[in-house]
Amino acid sequence: MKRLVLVLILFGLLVIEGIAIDLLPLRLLETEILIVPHWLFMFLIVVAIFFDKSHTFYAVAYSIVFGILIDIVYADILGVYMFVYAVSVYIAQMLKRLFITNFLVSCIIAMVTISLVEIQIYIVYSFVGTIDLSFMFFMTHRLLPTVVANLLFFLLVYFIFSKRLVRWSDEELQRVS
Amino acid sequence: MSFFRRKSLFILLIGIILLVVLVGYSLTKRDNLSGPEKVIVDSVGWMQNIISQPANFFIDMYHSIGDIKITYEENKVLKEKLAEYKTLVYEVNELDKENEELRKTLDIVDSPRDFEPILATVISRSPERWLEQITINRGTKHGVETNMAVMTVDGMIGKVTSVSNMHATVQLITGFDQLNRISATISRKGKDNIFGLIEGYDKEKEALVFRIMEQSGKKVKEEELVVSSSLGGQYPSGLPIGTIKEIEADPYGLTTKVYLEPSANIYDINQVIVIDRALDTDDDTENSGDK
Repeated sequence: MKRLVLVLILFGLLVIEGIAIDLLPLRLLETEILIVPHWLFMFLIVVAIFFDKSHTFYAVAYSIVFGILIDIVYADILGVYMFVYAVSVYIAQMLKRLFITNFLVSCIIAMVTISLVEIQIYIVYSFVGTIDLSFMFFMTHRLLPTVVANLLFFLLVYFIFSKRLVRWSDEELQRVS
Repeated sequence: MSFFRRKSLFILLIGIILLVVLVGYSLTKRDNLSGPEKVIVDSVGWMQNIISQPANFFIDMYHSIGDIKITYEENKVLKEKLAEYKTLVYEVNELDKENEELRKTLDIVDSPRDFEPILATVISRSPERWLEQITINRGTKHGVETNMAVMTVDGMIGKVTSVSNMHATVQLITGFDQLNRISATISRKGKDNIFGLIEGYDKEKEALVFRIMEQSGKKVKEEELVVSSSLGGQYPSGLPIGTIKEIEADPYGLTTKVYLEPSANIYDINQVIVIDRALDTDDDTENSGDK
């Protein structure tokens, strides 16, 4: 059951996201720059690109489940991460169909979707009234550093899991159909 | 294909409705987490508890490499401080005794300063940096309730926003908005304390906003210490909150806006103290009204 393994990995990422910020040096934390770890989401993107076939939506299903878990555990406002992750993973899967998936295309998909996640979160939180920041301030102080930092994590996940996920996908999804 | 498009549009609409409903639900003022939320917070917290101990050990080691460089200088200063401290401890003991005796003669048992500390360890920090919350490993079972103040040895860092059985979520003061104000005071010798409200955190100035209500010609100086006041009815008095960094007159001249530098470092928190006020909150608001 490789799908169970995926769930376990996702759960592990959910847990360690809680200590992710402590890994950054203190000097960086005290500046205005905000780096937000989206490790769970980065893994979901890799799953969407390499594990899902064109007719399956495992990554979207996982993103709904783990999105609501993030909302409950780390954010008191429910539904935001669930919706944002699900929509962005779905978009990633649509983008995947348009191109041949190689390394460069995967990176671009990751960057585009992570920006989408951040922008959607900014919009929702602005509506709710949690934050009151100008869009330019958000762009320079949160969006850019976050995209760059998460891309590093994406590369890590890409090199560890991309081949493995393709293999698992062949084993699992053929058996199902 | 057009059927498929229509279907995905339909799902998107349902998703947006669900989002609005959930956000609306979580924004309504609720004192308790719902059952499933408690279960999830507790089970994830249990895992985090296991992971946070070794992880913090390594993180501390990694941070302390930088600290070693300044250790020698720091040690000198600390030794001097320690000598002063010894006499201070003696003085405090004397004052404590005296205070207790005086209280006895006056028949006041509880003071708004008294509190029961609940020690807790930080097990995770929300990756969503805009929310500024942390999770601690103490919950209802240990006597933690919502709205209790949380501090480190350096000063106040926030308040408890939600509690499950074994864990609690703490909102840090840097994430405070207009809805969670803290009544605070600039403590002075004599009777002329200056009262005001901590209104929130200015993200671009990186300072707490402290608004002084009364304007009676009392001058506020920089570097003065602001402590919590029991008049708000939520926190015990005397918890250090921050020192004054910048003073700004209000355009209408009715209030003064003061920017505070938080006294506790909110980025380097491992151990915290949850403060259970000894006085019953409701009684106290009545009492302070009487006085």
